[in-house]
Amino acid sequence: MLTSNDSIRVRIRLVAIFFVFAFCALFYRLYIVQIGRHAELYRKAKNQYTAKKTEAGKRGEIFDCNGNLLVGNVPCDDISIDPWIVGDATTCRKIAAMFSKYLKIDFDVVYGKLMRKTRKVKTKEGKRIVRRNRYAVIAREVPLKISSKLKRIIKVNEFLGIFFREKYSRYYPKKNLLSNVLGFTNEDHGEIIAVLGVEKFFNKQMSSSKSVMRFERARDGRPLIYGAKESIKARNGLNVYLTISEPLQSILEEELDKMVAEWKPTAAYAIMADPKTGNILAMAQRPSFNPNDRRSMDPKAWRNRICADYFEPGSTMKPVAVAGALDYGIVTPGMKFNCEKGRWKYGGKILKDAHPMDVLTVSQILQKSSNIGIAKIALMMGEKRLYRVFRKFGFGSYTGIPLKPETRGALRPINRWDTLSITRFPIGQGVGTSPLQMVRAYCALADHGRLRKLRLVDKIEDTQTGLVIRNPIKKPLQVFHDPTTWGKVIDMMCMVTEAGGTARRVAIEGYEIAGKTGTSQKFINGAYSHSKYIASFIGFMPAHDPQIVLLVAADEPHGSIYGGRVAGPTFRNIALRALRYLNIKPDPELMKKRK
Amino acid sequence: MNIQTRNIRPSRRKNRRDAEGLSIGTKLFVVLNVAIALSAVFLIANYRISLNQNISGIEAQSVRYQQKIHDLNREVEALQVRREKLCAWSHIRGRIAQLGLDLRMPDPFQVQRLVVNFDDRPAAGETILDGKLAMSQDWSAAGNVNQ
Repeated sequence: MLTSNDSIRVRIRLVAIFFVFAFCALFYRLYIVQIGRHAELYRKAKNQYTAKKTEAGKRGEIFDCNGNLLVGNVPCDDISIDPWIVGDATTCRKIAAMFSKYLKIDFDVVYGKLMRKTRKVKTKEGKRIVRRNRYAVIAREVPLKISSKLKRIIKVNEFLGIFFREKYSRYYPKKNLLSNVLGFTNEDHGEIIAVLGVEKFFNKQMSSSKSVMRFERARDGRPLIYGAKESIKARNGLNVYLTISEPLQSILEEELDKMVAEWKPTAAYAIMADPKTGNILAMAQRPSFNPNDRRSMDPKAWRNRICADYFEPGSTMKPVAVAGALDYGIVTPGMKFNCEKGRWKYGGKILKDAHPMDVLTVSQILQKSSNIGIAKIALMMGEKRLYRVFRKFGFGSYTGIPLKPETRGALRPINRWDTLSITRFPIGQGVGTSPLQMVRAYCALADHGRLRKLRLVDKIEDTQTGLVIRNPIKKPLQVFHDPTTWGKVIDMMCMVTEAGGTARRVAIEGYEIAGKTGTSQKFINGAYSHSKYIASFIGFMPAHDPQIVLLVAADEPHGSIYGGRVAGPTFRNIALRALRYLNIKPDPELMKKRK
Repeated sequence: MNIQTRNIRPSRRKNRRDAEGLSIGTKLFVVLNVAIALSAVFLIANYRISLNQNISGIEAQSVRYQQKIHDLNREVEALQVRREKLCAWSHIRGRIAQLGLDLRMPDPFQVQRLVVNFDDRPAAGETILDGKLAMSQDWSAAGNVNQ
């Protein structure tokens, strides 16, 4: 029989065993929690007090040479909701009324989104299940002004479940200005996709990276001072500075629009460049588009015809051939040629002049734009020399401009020339050049025969580090061997805009303008069209100290086909305004002479 | 045998004897020391709490200011783009037409830049007409009227 002491002893042992087991269990549990499931539980706990914040950097902007913004970023917000926590029908009605008032969207659409608390989802097994609806987009790219107002109202009314995601939208403050060159971007699932133009060419440099910040947060979401922080800083995209001058670009586009309104061509181009540096000061084409208004954008107008297309330049090619002949010493400005009264048979084909002409000097051939005269000069030069001259002036090669796609034009290698080639190529038939190639060749003519790469981008700047990557002006190639060639060619080209020339309309009082008209038939379906022409004028001024080279071209104008009549007046208007803007004063001696 | 009873009794007696042996002054001294130590701990703890509270308050305030700066920066960015939009020639042209401003092309000789030589000595590459400041409409003839 157990005594009372035995009974106590047993009880003590039982309690001790119980405690031993309890402690063992506790230690086992502790082991599992602290060591066995450490990683899993630590992650869970960390997720609860750690927040992650991502922010996108700014895409690089595009400026003109004076720092005027051409493409920028506008701060805006995407507004989304969590229908599960926005509240009951009454609150939803209030929120929907607010959104429809400020965002100008249909009340029913917003209310429908707010009240859709669940959604059906298809599982991997193919079952349809109902889940909580935790996300719906109300509006994208809401302007800052409106989103700030909305934020204030939401705060006052203590609405829950409405989220604003800060972002930037690409904006083109000058609308149509330079749109074909600048290009544009699209957005796909938050990713920016550059479509064309400078935006596409410099996409890598202009792209930004996202910032990611992980931090231990307080109850209200703000970061704890002593908490651990990890952050990857956002990198803004690099800014691109073009050689374009916005005022000159505006002048160019305004006058080009006037020409398009008057002559209604299917397309029109104008390019202005600085012959001494190769800088493109302005370039425009029609049709163009407003990148801010995607609904009105016609994909046909996107293409940058200035560098992607080539055309037969017609008579604007003649000064190049004459300059070559003068430089080789084959002809002199006073040398006479029989222009066969406007009809001349060579290689079994008849070559015609626009107006019948008899005997002309080389200067007069250029002034009156005689095809026959130029063909005879080319025959004296020979195929090899003519081809070399074309190549030296950059035809058949890229201009160096950072735009894609760029054409090299169409200049057949010499072994593929036929009998007629030598008489047709120097008058701009059978060769294809892009408007940019023509401008580059005329820059060389203007700048003592120095052929330069064209420049569209002046520098690229990193605003965060202050690093500036400059695009240097490269050493030009010397086209002329004879230093006297330049003066002779310039004098001849000046005659084109004087009395007796084909471009008298281009003349500006007090300035000498050297240039050449071009009226080229379009080559359509294997034959030259008799109704479709390209009318153009290219020149530079002041002729003996050229500051600007300008090309104006109209593709299939209506009402007239001649370069001197269609493109000439536009050239004059642009040149006059540009000279005023650049403060290039007229020559008083020339003004006196004219009087 | 009850070991517990036997072991506890002498120790209780001993403690009681020890306590009875202390004077009131000593007891007060001990109590005072303990009180001082406790209040020091209390004060330090309180100071630390109030310091933390301040830090937290300042931190919250700094977050608010940071947010304000961020919002203002965004507003400035939006205004810069708006300014550029208003500077576009298409917009200016529209406003000129709207306001009926009768603007004309500038005369090439309208703007003249004068270089005044106070010491009446010509600068390099300049000449002075009649020893006085020349202001001529014929800009090419004027020696010290730089265009």
